[in-house]
Amino acid sequence: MALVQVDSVTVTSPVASIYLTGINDDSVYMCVVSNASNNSGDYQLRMRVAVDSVQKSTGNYDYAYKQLDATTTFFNSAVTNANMFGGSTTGTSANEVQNYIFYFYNWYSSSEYSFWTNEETTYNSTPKLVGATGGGVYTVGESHNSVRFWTGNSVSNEYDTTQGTFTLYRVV
Amino acid sequence: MSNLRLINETEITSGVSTVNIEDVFSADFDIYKIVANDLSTVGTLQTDPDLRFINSSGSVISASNYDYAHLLMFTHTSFSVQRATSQAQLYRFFSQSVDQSPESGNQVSYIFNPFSNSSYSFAIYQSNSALAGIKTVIKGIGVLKQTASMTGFQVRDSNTTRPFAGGTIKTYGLRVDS
Repeated sequence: MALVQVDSVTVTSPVASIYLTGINDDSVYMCVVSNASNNSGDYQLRMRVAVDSVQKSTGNYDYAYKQLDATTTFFNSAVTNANMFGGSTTGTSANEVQNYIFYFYNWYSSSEYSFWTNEETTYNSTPKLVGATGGGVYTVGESHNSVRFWTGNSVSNEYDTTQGTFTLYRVV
Repeated sequence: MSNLRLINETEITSGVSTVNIEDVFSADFDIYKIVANDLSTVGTLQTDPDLRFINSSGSVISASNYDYAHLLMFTHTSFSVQRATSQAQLYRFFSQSVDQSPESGNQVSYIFNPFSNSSYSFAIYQSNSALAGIKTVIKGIGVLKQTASMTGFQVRDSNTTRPFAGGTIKTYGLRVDS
């Protein structure tokens, strides 16, 4: 498997959004989030499909995952008709960071739904080791050429992402 | 040119209980992919193929700073979980217990920021194996809770007396171009 970098953003000071762009064909894309954390509280890392820098925020996100936890029982979670994909929550302590590997499928197609799979390993706001293995879909048949990441703690509240490297690769 | 770069390929020599793969993590990459295949033992008694990191001084990290959690998916019975904190290794990182060929263990994993001296070293791993007819798939996560620079890792026969007969470990770096 070869990977060709399409876009990358390294955050070293607080930003409201990270957009990765350049999805321009029907290839599978791999997106890696490394060492991500937020600025001022215990907030969740979130993701939406987008076109250029315009995110899709309608309630069309369905996803499911198995939550892994180093200290307690694993659990299953299923979410339907959400307006985003939600990952784990980290606080502001130095070692609380999030790492993800996503694969994006059919994002560029104007007729197919946009699918993804996600794998995660995170030291969360508890703090403890957690992670997830799962996947999801944005159930609108339209073309997307980018992805938005940000942090928040409610539907309307968005906060700055303080650090992290966000990279998009085409799988060839 | 692919951004996934092969850094090291190590063939396990028959009869060894530890295999140190050193000087593979560096400032050139933040994320690494490890692919292991055909891990087996010399004898018929099984062992757990664990991982320990190796620091920039060449020391194998055996302090109780590892946490892990993984799901075991069996073909013969119900799924189960294993999780622990403050361990001396990432238990069954390379697979569920392995024994003599033709049964073996096979694995793919990603390591995040091992070379950084300001962040923990994280892992995502998945494997499959066969042992005495029992087939097991593992999906897991791990962390070494040390903010020290790691430059390599050790594949370890956890029993220490049931050495490996063979296997191949490939380490790739995932390049981020600025």
